[in-house]
Amino acid sequence: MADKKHPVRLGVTGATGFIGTHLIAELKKDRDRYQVETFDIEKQNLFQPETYAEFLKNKDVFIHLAGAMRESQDEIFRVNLFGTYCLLKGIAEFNGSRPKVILSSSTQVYSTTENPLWHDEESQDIGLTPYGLSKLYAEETLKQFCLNGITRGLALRFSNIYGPGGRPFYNSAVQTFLCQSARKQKILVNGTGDQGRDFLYIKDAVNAILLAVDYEPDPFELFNVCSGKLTTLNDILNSIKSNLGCDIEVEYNLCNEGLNFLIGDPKKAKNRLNFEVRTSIEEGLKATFDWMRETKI
Amino acid sequence: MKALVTGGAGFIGRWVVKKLLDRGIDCIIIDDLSSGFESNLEEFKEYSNLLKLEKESICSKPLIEEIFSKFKPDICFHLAARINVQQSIDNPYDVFNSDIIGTFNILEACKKHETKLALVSTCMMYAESKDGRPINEESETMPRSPYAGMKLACENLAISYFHAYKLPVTVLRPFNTYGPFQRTDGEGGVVTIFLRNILKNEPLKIYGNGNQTRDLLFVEDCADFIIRAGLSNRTHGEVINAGLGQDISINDLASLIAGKGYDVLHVPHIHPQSEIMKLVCDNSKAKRLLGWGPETSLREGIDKTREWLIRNIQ
Repeated sequence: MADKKHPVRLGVTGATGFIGTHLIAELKKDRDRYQVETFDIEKQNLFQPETYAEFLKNKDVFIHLAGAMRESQDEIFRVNLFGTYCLLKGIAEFNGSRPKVILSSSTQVYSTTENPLWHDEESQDIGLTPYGLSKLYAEETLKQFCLNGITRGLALRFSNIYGPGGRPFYNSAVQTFLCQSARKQKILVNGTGDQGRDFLYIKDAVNAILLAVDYEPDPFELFNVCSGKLTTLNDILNSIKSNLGCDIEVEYNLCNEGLNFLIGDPKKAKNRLNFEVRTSIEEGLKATFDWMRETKI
Repeated sequence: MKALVTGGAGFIGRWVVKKLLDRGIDCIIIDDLSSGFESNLEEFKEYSNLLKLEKESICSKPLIEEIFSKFKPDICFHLAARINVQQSIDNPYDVFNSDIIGTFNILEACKKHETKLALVSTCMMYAESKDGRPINEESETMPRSPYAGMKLACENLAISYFHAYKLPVTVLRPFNTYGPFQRTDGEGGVVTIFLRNILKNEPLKIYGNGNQTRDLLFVEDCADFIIRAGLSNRTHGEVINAGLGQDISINDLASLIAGKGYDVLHVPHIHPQSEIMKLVCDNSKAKRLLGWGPETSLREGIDKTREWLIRNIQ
């Protein structure tokens, strides 16, 4: 694989997003090892591969982070599914050397459960949200391109990623809670706060991508990239109080949805990718909170 | 989320505790160290979510009440129990006091504090399968020792709380469990005792003719099963088996572990009247309700246990 004379040639989509920004910063630290080109959203159109033929040529690995999450249902399917298909079709047409494609997917392909259950990659509890389905179909599309010998591929099913650079009031309760704590605003919680999720610090997520760059899939493999730890929203709030020393006011909106859980089992990534979570939730919250206060978000 | 684990310093209990802690669940342990060891918990010193080790007996009702009031656990994994069949025959009074009174205390506390209960029982109360087919949860029970009889009594008591008080109770019947941290003395299991004897260059002793069979479940699979079944809410009022799904005779086990030609002594059984000649588990209910199945083969499990014993044997 990568050595000093032959750096890995990488093409990254979604490079300006939350994960992308952290990933690019990490890749640039080792220019002997990684040669990076980012997809230019201003000049290139994901749905028209001929507009980015040069990006597709002469690459060993594509890291496909571009996606839609909070947009309309049509847009979610168009970007996540059709966009992935267009990228793969473009690789078939312009690359031709069976590159590796690392697809950013999500543990939201699994359904939430009424009691804590650790989903492994074989789990049949499939979620029915548009976002989860769009990622599941994108994985399946990549798998078909792999089975047809056009690419090799990995899909990384990330759990709830948080950290510096993450947007509050968007898709992460952690980012929102921390932001509200920093601004000394009242925190509103839907439900009892006992619902459990699996939170992953951004640096651990980026590390999993770097491990995937070096991994040889056969020819397509799925991995949960998650902490495997059940953390309730109340755990987060308690940690904000006790470890960050914030005096917060919390209001629970109890008429909402019932208790539910969504947790991944990271065993496969541990065994095959040597993936390891290095950042505890306390450390991650602290680093994110410090960043928020610095940037006054 | 908080879990109370009784018998959490014991062989299976410490693995349940480990897997709960690794999954981010807060744990409180009650263990009087009558069969377990504090050293089994050495690894968890650094874990901030192990909230308390209470070195007391579950027979103390005020203590149980204090722990439940203080920690308000969401679920109790009840594993504290006597573990020795022969001792139950010699001194049933002791087993009655610890298992029945202790379980009654736990049930009362769970009822009062609305705590879910996973009762870890045994396969040893099943009657022998007459046609040799794997034993399912509908199979006949026939307790042949006070050990098995009292386990069955505890199960019945727990199930009655489900019906009478709607207490969310699940009864778990793991088959013969083995693995790292099991005792290697007379109160341990056959796999661990055989491995120990081989490492010490001592002959293997087999009770009776050695044709009795066991379904051997690796302890990490057992702990996964207990946690998955306990946390599920599709299992209330249910009894669920867990085993490897295949059995092996003690003679074949001796050859598998020691190789052919190793010194094996067949000695008179100490309690032939309580022996069960064939035990093999039907796992299908656990698979259907929980999606659980064993992941560790007998060979892999033996290797892992051997490696642990080599590092830890005195």
